[in-house]
Parts: sequence; structure tokens; C-alpha cells
Amino acid sequence: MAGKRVVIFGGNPAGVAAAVKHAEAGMQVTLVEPSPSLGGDLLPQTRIIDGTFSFLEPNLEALRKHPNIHVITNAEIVRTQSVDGRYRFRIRRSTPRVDAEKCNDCKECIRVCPIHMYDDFNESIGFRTAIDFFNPETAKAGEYNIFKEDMPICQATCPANLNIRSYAGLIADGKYAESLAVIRERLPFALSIGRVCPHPCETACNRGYVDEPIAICALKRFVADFEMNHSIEPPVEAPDQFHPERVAIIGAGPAGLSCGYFLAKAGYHSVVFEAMPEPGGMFRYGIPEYRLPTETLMHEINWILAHGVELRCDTRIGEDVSFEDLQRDYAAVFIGVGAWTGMNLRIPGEELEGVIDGVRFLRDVNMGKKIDMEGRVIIIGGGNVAMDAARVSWREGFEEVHVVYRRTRREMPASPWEIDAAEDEGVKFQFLVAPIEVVGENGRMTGLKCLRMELGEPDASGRRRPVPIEGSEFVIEAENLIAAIGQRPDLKFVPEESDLAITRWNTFEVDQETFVTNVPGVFSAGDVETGPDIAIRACANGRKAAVGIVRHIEAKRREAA
Amino acid sequence: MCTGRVNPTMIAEAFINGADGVMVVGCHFGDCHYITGNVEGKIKVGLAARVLDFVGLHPTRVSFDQCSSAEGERFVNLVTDFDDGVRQVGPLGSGDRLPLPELKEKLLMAKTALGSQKLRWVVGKFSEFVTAGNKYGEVFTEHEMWRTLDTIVMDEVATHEILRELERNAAAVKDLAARLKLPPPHVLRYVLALQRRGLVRLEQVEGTSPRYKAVELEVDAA
Amino acid sequence: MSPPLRVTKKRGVKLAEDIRTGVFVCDCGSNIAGYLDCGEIAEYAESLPNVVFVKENLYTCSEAGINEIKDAIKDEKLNRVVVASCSPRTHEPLFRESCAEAGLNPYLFEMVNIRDQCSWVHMKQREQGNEKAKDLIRMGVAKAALLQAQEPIQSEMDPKAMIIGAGISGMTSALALANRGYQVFLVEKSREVGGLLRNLHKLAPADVDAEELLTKQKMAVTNHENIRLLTSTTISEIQGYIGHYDVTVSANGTEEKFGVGVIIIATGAKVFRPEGLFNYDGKRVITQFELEGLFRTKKFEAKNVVMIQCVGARSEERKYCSRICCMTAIKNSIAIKERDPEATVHILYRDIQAYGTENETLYQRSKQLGVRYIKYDQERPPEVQDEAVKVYHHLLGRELELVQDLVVLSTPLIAGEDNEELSKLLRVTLDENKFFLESHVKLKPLDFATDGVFLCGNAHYPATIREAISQALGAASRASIPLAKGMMTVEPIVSVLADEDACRGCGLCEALCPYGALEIVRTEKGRKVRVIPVACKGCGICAATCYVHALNINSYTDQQVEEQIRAFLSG
Repeated sequence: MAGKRVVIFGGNPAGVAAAVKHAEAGMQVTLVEPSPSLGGDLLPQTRIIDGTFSFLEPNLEALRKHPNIHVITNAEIVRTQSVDGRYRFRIRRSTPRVDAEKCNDCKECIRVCPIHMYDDFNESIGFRTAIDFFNPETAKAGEYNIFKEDMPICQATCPANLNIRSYAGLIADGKYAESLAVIRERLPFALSIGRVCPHPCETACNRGYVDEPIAICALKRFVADFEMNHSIEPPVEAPDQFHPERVAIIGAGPAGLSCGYFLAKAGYHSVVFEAMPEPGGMFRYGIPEYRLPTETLMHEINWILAHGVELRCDTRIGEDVSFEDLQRDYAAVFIGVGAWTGMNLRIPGEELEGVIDGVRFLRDVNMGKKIDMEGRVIIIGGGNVAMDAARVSWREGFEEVHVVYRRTRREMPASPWEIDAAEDEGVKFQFLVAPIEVVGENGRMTGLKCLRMELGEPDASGRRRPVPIEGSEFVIEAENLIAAIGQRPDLKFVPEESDLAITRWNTFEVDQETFVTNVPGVFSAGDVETGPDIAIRACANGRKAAVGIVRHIEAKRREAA
Repeated sequence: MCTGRVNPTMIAEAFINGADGVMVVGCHFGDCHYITGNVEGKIKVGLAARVLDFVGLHPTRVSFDQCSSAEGERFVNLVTDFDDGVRQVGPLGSGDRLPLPELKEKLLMAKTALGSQKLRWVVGKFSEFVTAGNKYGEVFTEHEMWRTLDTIVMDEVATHEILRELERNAAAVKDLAARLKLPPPHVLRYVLALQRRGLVRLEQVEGTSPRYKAVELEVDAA
Repeated sequence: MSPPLRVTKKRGVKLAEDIRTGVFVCDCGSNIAGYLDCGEIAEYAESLPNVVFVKENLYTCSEAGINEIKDAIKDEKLNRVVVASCSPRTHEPLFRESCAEAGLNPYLFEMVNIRDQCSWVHMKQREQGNEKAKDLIRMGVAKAALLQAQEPIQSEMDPKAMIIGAGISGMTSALALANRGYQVFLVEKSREVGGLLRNLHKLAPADVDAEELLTKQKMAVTNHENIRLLTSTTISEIQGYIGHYDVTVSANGTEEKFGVGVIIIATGAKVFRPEGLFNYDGKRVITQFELEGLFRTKKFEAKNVVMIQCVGARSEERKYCSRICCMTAIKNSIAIKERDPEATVHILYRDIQAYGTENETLYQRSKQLGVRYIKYDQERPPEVQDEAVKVYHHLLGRELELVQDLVVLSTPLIAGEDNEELSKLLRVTLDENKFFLESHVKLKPLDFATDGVFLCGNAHYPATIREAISQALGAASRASIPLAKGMMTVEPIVSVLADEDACRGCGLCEALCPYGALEIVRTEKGRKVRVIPVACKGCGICAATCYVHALNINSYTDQQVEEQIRAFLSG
């Protein structure tokens, strides 16, 4: 075995012992440890009182002196490959911020460091500073490092990684314009997102452990509204000169417009093709007027367009313009068409008159179409689309509005405040009920046959699976049914020759950094890539795609040069 | 002398020597003869005020005001108001959270803290952090900086008190806690942190309680 | 592994020499003695530590008083002198010089102001005034004991100038300096010189042809042997201080370095484009600036012109008045009327600025020619329609519809987009509107607080051509003062690295210094701060900040100030 190379993961006592053993057998040993020093969880306790003695002393001494052992701390394995019985590992080491060569352990840094952190090495008995050493007795190198949290928890949770710390703080300092500028560095839709976002950041907010989370979303809406309500001209910061290349964007929704906005800021003109008569995508046609007024949305969209984004509405790709034309005429194509096709219920009677899907219903209402429905309505589903459909139905004047959901209220994916509001407005909820058949007469529905359920074992999503109760069938009488059980993208416009790979959920698979699809020059983000998701993720990914597009264009320009 | 020249230790020095109040008056912002001296002055005086308040001095006794050389009346009003305020609190040691002999001890502590590296470092970075931001490009707001400084003031004063006790005699954590009127778990945390920084060492274990001593420091003869 | 240990400084300076302080109390005729008991004060001074000689003078600054100081220095072997009299602003240089003449280092002199601080402000409180004078003298004497001898700092001047911006201001300054024989680098970022002047037609009030003026100045600048004109050139770096600026410029990707002693900022301003305001489209609705372009290219044809003033100015967003737009509108309205008396011109305004006799004459003349002025309210701004402008007339109390085939918007000049970058490069300040801010409105209107940098023209604030030229000549004149001196003498009351070993080269002081007078350099002992005494103004921010107490300010050291505090409170 001599001369062979061994990699050991984990620097706990067993790992250290194994490293010494293999090294003594003549092998080249690399010891990889994710924490900043060796010793695992056992070591710190020995250091509480006396730093000179350490639990792992004998092995550590051996390890430290052994020329064949190479220790890499602060590192983790990213990828493992096996070729002909040999392994290759890709190891990522977190940023070393202290030059171990130059560090002479003078301790000056930890004496001045003002940031006291939770001392995870001593179970918080003492203090640890942001720059600190980790058991110099144990590690071979890299004893000192600066511990820097990547981002505050709210920022890390936000799909757009908005710099919440700064913008909330600037509001506290009364600097509203600066605050808004911070938001707009990463998100053009402050007004709209401030209204519709289900704000995962607030759920994560640490302040929630004390009393209530910071009202991050409302703060964003506040600064954006402040600007709009005081008729302050939002600053248009586009470069004086644009590059010659232009980008085609399909879909003027959150993803497409965000992408166009950031492309413009980077100096690229884009043309946004929109099939519907007005821009905004799901903001315009999916979210009801009472949650996001069209006027407010258009205020924001007009500002985005002012950066140098061209909009062509009523232009459907595949009908008015072909996809190939776009690929030929533009430097890059971005697809952000969203997910607009409601999923089928897959129960008998679905084709009866009076049955409609949720997205379609919301779109018709938002377009101001006369809704050719009356009487009672049943909404199937427990997400935010179902809640929007229920609350809109109630506003449209249906006699009764029922929401039918397979599980209980606790499992409903809709935002709790939306559920409460719907209930408050008079929507009737039927929990633990599954539809099995739409019943009707003369081609028109008269009711929904349902089955009662009870909760069983948790399923893959962690939610308890509803199990039907035998013989519990009953019928809810209603003239109309809205199915809001999910949407998927409509990708009919994509020609087969384009070679674009489409997943079984009818979405595109993209590189998560650049958002390029399997076809170079074609990018995609938003619901068409993620499947139905929250708006801010579409905005966030639209921005990332813009960065990807810029890189793509620049790379091509370099190639040409 | 520009208010930017005011070393926070000077303010502590005045109280140690028996001043009943210290008032620092500089130019208005944007009007400073030395461009940004008054901005720095306000921060430094703000720090001194926080530390002194923390050790028990009545907050009325320190003030930073702004006034131009053309505002004679304003100056008179500022001084008169400040004087009235201090008179209401009374001479040093009355109206403060501690009576005089103890307060003086604490004031010496405050001066040490104000002259110590950590507070000076953070306060020196203050204006850079709220304008240009730190090395990671994060810009902080003023209230955030002051809040951070508040916690550092707390730590620093406690740390220096413990250090001074341990420079005199070796002591166990519970004795220290009793002497300094601090909760023992806090004292333990500070002592361990000091040990980690190489400023305190374990001298001996008496029974079950370890006794700590300050590491003897090389004193510069200059 | 024993760590290097914390260093504790011992405060207070041990005095090696025997301190012999002389105190001179000035009566200032009755200015001081009329309100204070100078005799009593002098007697008190005798009781102070280190004081070996006290003299009360009728006028310390008189020939007799000065001689008494000089004699006492020699006879009594004084090595510290304290004068308790008036303001150091006026008299400190005189007393210092007297000390120097008697062989005493002038920085071993300390002045106490018992006139402004005591006899004047406490005229009616003799008792308290007396006590305060004693306190101040006690403090002065205490500080004097710790004073150290200093030598003035000398530095050479690089007799060259850089002027940033080759508009009318920049060109004028450049010519003024070049004609005085100084080498001038004239840096312009665009391809052509002339700035805003290039687009103007006639210049009010003398009806000068803009092109003629421009051509004349351009020729002079291009052909002058002392001027190096660098067009299409941007400044990438400026390092240094008065007398020694190292400038790096880049043109078409190639860099060039040169050194200058002084810098004049003449970067001008730009015209605000009123995008989105009053249906501005650059064709039917244009700016005054574009109107001048039409005149110049002889494409002006409109019959019915409506001008709207204060577009984008004096608003929430831009609070200031751009000052020159009223006269531009008046000048252009006259030009239209003179071409075609049948044409109608309406000027919709909020207030009219027509200061000075020539401007007022022009204003009156425009009215005589039939230009109509209608005042509008900011709350009810005019409304630009396809072929008319609707405006609410205050006096008539109703809305008027004015027929138009051209709408001209008077927009303000706004600060150039490079101002912020340049202000950082040169460490000079900007005002809230991003224009450059002078050192003092009245005393130094063309200087910056940073020595060796001057400003003129629109870079400072919207100015007429005439004002810009006056300022440019003024700035050139200001800049030529240090150039002519050749050598600079600077007071040694500056920052010093008192404790080199303590300094860790952390850069805290460097970041805070408002004058760029500190730099971190590599030395044999590692990174250390270096003070550039010529650039330092002695504000003391660095000394108050240094976390290891390595920096100090000559004549205002921590020890001296704390000694003063102790002396004050020991009374």
C-alpha cells in the first residue's frame, strides 16, 4: 500500500487517528475538515479551563510532525469522480481571509475586534470574536480566520437577495430615496413586489423570536409608495451609450421585464414580445386588481421601459413572429413566458360547461371580460391562485363561494392572511374533501361529487397524505367550478428543430448561474423555468439571466474580435 | 482647536479632575474650517458621552453643540442652557448614578476604555462605514453604528474593570463578580475571552475554583 | 507561544530642562485694564509654577512692550514666554517674531486672550472676568511648560498648472497663467474645446458672436507655447499636494503622467434635458440651448413661440435657481423679434431675474418689441398641447390658450456627471447639488479648502459668460500666488508621528484625513504612516483617532491639552 494517496474526510478523533495510522504505513494522507480546526465536538471542552492540555494530544503531535499528512481545514468536498479505480475529488475551501504565512499569532487582531459572536467552540461560555483562532493546538495551518456571515438571514432567504439590512436601515435614517435605490439595485418592481410578495424573508426574520418579524415587505412598499405618492420622478439610470447588440425577450412578465431592465442598465437594448394586449404578465393578468392595481403596475412598467426597453404587445411568438426569426435577428433570446395553462383535474365530467381553470378565470376578470357565469361556484385547490379566484369570485357576485381542499387548513400552501381574508369575506371552506366527479345535466354542471378524507402518513413533501374515507361520498351543488390546482407553461411556440430540451413538467432546464438553456444564446427564467412560483423569484432569476446574457454577448464579441 | 482634535480621553480627563460638565461647540456641518473636523468631533464626543453615561455619569454633563461665529446669541443660549442643566444636576457625584469616590474610580476606567484600542478602532471607522461602507461594500446606517458601539462600550468597560482587578490580585470568577457587582456568568465570559486573547492566565486552581491573573505586561518606558 | 505584549504608555512628559517662564500681562490701554485688575492678575501669575518673571505692560505690542519681552528673554534667561493680551489671530505672529529676534524659538511662545475672552465679554462682571483671566493664564502657563521648539517647514513648488476643462473658463485661466510664463496643461475630456460655448449663438448683453469669441480663444490656446492642450483626455489619478501633484491622464487608452503645482477646476456644467416634461421631444418642444443651435444653423422658422421658464428648476428635485435662463430667454426672444417683428413670443415665467443695468435694459427692450410675459403658478403649470399651450392667467383668473408652433423650455444647468469622481480624486467638496463648493463664500470664493486647488465658472454654479471669464481670471490670479512664490513655508503646527514603533500602518488616519496629508508607506519597520507636512493643516482628526496614540499635533499634543485641562480644574 506504500506510496498510495489517501483522502480522509472529517477531522474528529477517529479521522485524526486514521490519518496518523495511514501515514505511518507510508501513504500520502490528505485530511479534509469542514470546520476551522480538527477535533470535532470533543475538543473544545478540554479547552474551557486550560488551553495547554488537549484531548487529542498524542495523535495530534504525531499528525503535526508527520511530513506525509496534509491538512485542509474549512473545506468540503464538492464532487467525487471515480475513474479506473482512482478517485478525484474537488474540494472547496471557504475563503481564507488571513495569510497563514504572515500570521505570527500576536493576538492583536482578536484584542481589537469589536464583534462578539456566539462561541460555537465553547458552547457560548466565552466570547469569540469575528476574527479568531481555533484551537491552535490542533490545526496544522489556518488557525486564524475572519468569520463573516455571507448575508443576514433575510437577505439570504430572499430569492432576489435584496439588501434588506441597508434599505430598512436607510428608512430608519429617513433616507427614502437612498433606500429605494438600494432596492432597485437588485429589483425593479418595488411597488408591485411590495404589494404581492408572500415575503419569505419575514418568516425567516430573527426578530420573530423576540416579538414580531420586521415588516420588510411593507417597508419596501412604503418607500416605493412614498416616491409615487409624492410625484417624485423615479431616477432612470441607463448608460449614455448602448451596445449594438439587441436581445429578444419573450413575455413581459416579472422575469422578462426584470431581465430587460438589467440589460438596459448594462447597456443593451432589448425588445419585449408580449402575446397579451398589455404588459405585466401574471402581475397584470394573474393577480387581482385589489391586490395590485393596474395603474400602480403600469407606473412601474413605464419607468422600466424608460431605461431603453422596447415593448411589442399583441405579438405572439410562433404566430406573429417565429422563434427562429428571433434567434436569427437578436444576439440572445430570453424566454419568460410564465406558466399559464391550468392543470386538469383528471376526474370525469371535467369537460362540462361551467368548469374553468383558475388562471384563465383570473385573466378574464383582469381583462375586464364579462364573466358568463352566475350562481354558486366551487374552487378546488389551496394555493394563492385558489384564494385569489375565491376572493375575486366573491367580488364578482356569485351567490356562494366554496373552496374545496384535500387536506386541512394547516397544510394549505396559500398565505395565511389570504385564507383569513377569504374566510372573513364569506368564502366557505371545505377541508379534507377530494373531488371525484363533476356531475351535470345536458352538458352543464350541476354539482361536484366529493369524498371525505382523513390524514395519513406524511408524503414526500412532508405533508400528511390524505386518505379517503370509504363510502363518504356527497355532492356539493353548484353551477360553476374553478380548478386552481396548479399551472404549467405552454411551450407550443417552441419549434422542435430548436433542440430546446423540455422537462416532464413542461419547463426548461437551465444552468442555475447563467440561466442559459441547453441551446447557447437562449436563456430562460421565471415560472417557465421553475414551474409556478412566487413573483420575486421570477424577478431575481430574470436579473441573473440578464447577467448571463451580457456575459454570453461579451464572450461572442471577444470570439469575433 | 478644531472639535475634530478632541480626543475622547480629554473629556474623561476633565471629569476625573473634577469638572461638572464638558461642552464641546463646533461649527455647523458643511461649514467646518477643516472640512470634516466637526463630523469627527461629533462622533468622538458621542462616544465619550456614551461611555461616561454607561459608567454612571449623568448624561446632561456632556454636550456637543454647533454654532457659527456669527451666532453670538445662539452661543450665549447654548452655554446658558447647558450651565442651567448642569446646575440642576448639581456638582459631580450628586445626581449621578454613583457617589463621588466610586464614580471617580469608574471615570478612570472610562478613560482607559476610551483610550483603548477597540473603541478607538470602531469609532475611527465610523464615518467610513456610514459613507463608503466596509471592505465588503456594506454601508451601515448611523443608528446601526451607534447600536453596535453601545454593546462594545458595555463589553469594554467590563473588560477593563476585570483586567484592572486581575492586575492587582489573582481572583476567582465569583470573587470578581461580587466585587464588581456583575453576574458571575458574565464575568466568566469576559475572563475566558481575556484568556483567549492572552491578557489573562490561569494562575492556580483553588479547591474547585480556578483563579485568574492578568498577564504581566511589558511597559514601554517612554 | 507567548504573544507580544500590550504596550501601556506612560502619560506626561518628563521635562529635561529647567523651565523658566515669563508672563506678560497687557493692559491694552483701558481695553483690558479698564475692566479687569491687571495688577492683581500679574501678581497671581507670579504664583504659578515655573514662572520666574512677570510684567504688566500698557501695550505689550508697542515698541516698548516688545523690547521688554526681548530684554527679559536675555536677562532672565526665559525659555518660555506667555503673553496675556488680545487675539492670537492678529498678534501672535508679532510676538513670535519678537521671541525669535531675542533668540528664543518662536514655538516656545504661548498666547492667552484675556481681552476677547474676559474684558470684552465680561465687561460688567469684573470679579468673574478677573477669575477667568487667571484661569486662562494658569492654563497657558501649564501648556507653555510642555511646548517644544519647532522649525518652519519649507517645500519647493513645481511651477506648472493643470486646468481641468477647456470651456471658456478653462481657456481663459490657461491663457492668463500661460501669459505669465507658467507651463499649463489644459485637459479636456471631449474632442473639441469650447464646452457649452460651442452651441451658443449670440452672447448677451453685448451681442457678441459666440463663434467669434470661441475661435479667438481657441486659436490663442492652441498656439500658445506654454499651453499643452490635451483633448479627448480623462484624468485617472491625482496624487500629492500643493506644489507637487502627480497627475495621470489617459487618452485613447494610453496613459501619461506629469507633475503640476496647482490645479484649477473649470469643468463647467451641463444642460438639463427635460425628458418627460412639457412633452419635450427635441423637435416641436425644445430647450433654449437647442434654440440657439437652430439660430446658429439658420434653421429657425417658427412664427409663434412660447417659452416656459424654470423647467426642472426651483422644484422639489432641483431647488436652486439656475440664474442665467431668464436672460437667455430674454436674449433669444429679442433675437426672434428682431428677425421677424410679426412673430409672437410668449414667456411663461415664475419670477424674472434681470439683475444689473444691461440686463434690465434688455428686459425692457424685449417688452418694447412686443414679447409677452405671463406669470404662471408652480401649482398650475402650463400644459403643452399639439398646437397650443394652455396657461392659467392669474390676473384674468382664467385659462389662456396660446397658439404655438414652437415651445422652448428654459432648463437649468446641472452639475457635470464627473464632479463626484473628481471631488474624490482631489479631496475637495461638493454642495448638495453636486456643484463644487468653494472654501469660503466671501473670503475665498475661488479657492478650495485644500491648498493649491482653485475653481471657476459653471463648475461652481451656473454663471454667465462674463462671470465665468471674471472668475477664470480671478482663479488664475489666485493660483499664480503660490506659483510665484516658488517656495512654500508652512507653519509646523502639523501632525507628527510621535511614536513610530506604535504605528501599525493601519490606515485609519489616512482614511479620515480631509487633506490627503497622510500616507501609508513601507519602511524597514513595516507599514507606517508618513505625514506630508505641506499638505497638513493641523486639524488633529488623526491624533484624536489614532488607536495606538502614535500621532500627535505639534503645539496641541494630547499631553499639552490634558495639562491645560488639569491646570484649569486645579484652580
